[in-house]
Amino acid sequence: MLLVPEINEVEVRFISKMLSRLVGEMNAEVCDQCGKCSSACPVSKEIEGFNPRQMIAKVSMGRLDGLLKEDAIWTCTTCLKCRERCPEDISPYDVILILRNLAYRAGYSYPAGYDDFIKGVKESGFISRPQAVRGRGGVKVSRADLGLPEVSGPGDMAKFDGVIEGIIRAGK
Amino acid sequence: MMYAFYPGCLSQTEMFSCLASAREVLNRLGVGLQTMDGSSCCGYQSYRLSSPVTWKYLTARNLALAARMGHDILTNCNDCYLSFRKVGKELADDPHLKGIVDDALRLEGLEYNAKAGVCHIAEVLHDRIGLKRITEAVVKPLKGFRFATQPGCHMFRPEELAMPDGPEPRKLDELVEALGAETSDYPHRLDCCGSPMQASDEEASLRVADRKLRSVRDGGFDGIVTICPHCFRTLDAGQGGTGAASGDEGKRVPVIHYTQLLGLAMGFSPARLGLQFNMSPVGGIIDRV
Repeated sequence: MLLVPEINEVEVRFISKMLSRLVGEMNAEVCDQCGKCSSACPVSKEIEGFNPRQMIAKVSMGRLDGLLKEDAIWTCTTCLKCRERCPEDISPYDVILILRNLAYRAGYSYPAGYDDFIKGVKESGFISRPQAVRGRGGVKVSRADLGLPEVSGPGDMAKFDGVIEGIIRAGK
Repeated sequence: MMYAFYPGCLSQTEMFSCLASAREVLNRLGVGLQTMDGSSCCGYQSYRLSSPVTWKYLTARNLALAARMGHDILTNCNDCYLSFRKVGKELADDPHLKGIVDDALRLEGLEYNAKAGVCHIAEVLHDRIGLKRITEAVVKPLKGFRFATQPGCHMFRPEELAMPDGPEPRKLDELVEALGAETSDYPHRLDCCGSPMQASDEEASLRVADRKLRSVRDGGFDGIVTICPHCFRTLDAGQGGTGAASGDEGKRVPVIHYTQLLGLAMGFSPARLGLQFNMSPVGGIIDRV
């Protein structure tokens, strides 16, 4: 059984529901291991070891813990081609997203870039503040230089972030 | 035709050319864009990892803001579009999730009532404005150009959400053809550009982009047209890091966003369409138009 520290009831309920739904789907629509997902996957062509078919096999055998520690779950581009190709209507895409949620919650490693995105939303409402952008000529230009209006953010940031923190803490 | 305009994080903070060109062409085509005061990230690229409920709350919050404005959302971002569609369906199907989201929205005096619809910019251009009116707006027809297209995965997948251009996307091609240019298929057309992998493995992400760019270059196209800001950034700015662009600059594939191309055909100056920000060699396209 996977031990997930510091996890709130809302997340547990959500993740449990998603996992049971996926397992339910896979029980009804058994994966034949035909490999159409892996052969369609644009990442499998470039990264040896990234294999949606094998991931589904591991999930259906309950071998979650090893999967959660693998870098592979972070290299999916979420293009949904696997989901489109599956003749049994299984969605490796959704499975991978849930594995990411579990890995994060279990405290396993994940790409650091995600923390920057969350920090950006906490600070400004968006994944980053507007940057000055360099064009082909090498000159940096801001939004205002282009005549674009200021970004209209969430307004009261303390309140905005307070509601989010409330959701994350909810159920504790 | 009035919409609550939701450009999403990438156009707002970095890909200003997508934002500037969309505003210019939509304005001239008679589409009113209202700024969504109070809006934020939809959560798809941020909280989806750490707290899926927060992701869904953020998407619902933006939908609630649009409903309060009395307009449907128009977004030019494929990821935001998918997020709105996916979360909208989950809120309709899952009363428990809706209860959590409603409680959180109430703290800001907001309400989710599913009244605001969501349109991808390609849908507005193709289905609501229509190809005929777009062709009529062209003052510089793109005769003699042949482009590859990159619609972006989240405009036509997944099938169960009845996406606006799925499962065999043609709308972007028809929008390009409405300007007088030709389009044709090429190997890997419906493959991902590699963009979402940049957070985890930038080098591999560029290898995925490279396969597509090589295919476009080998096909002898004048360039690749995309309508997704994520694909645009990866194929355009990311190209310098791919094998396809190694060696002389002449090997690089011109990458242009659809609203930039439409703007050129409508007679806007390149600067107003943000074409000075394209890192790929689009000078040849600009000169020929």
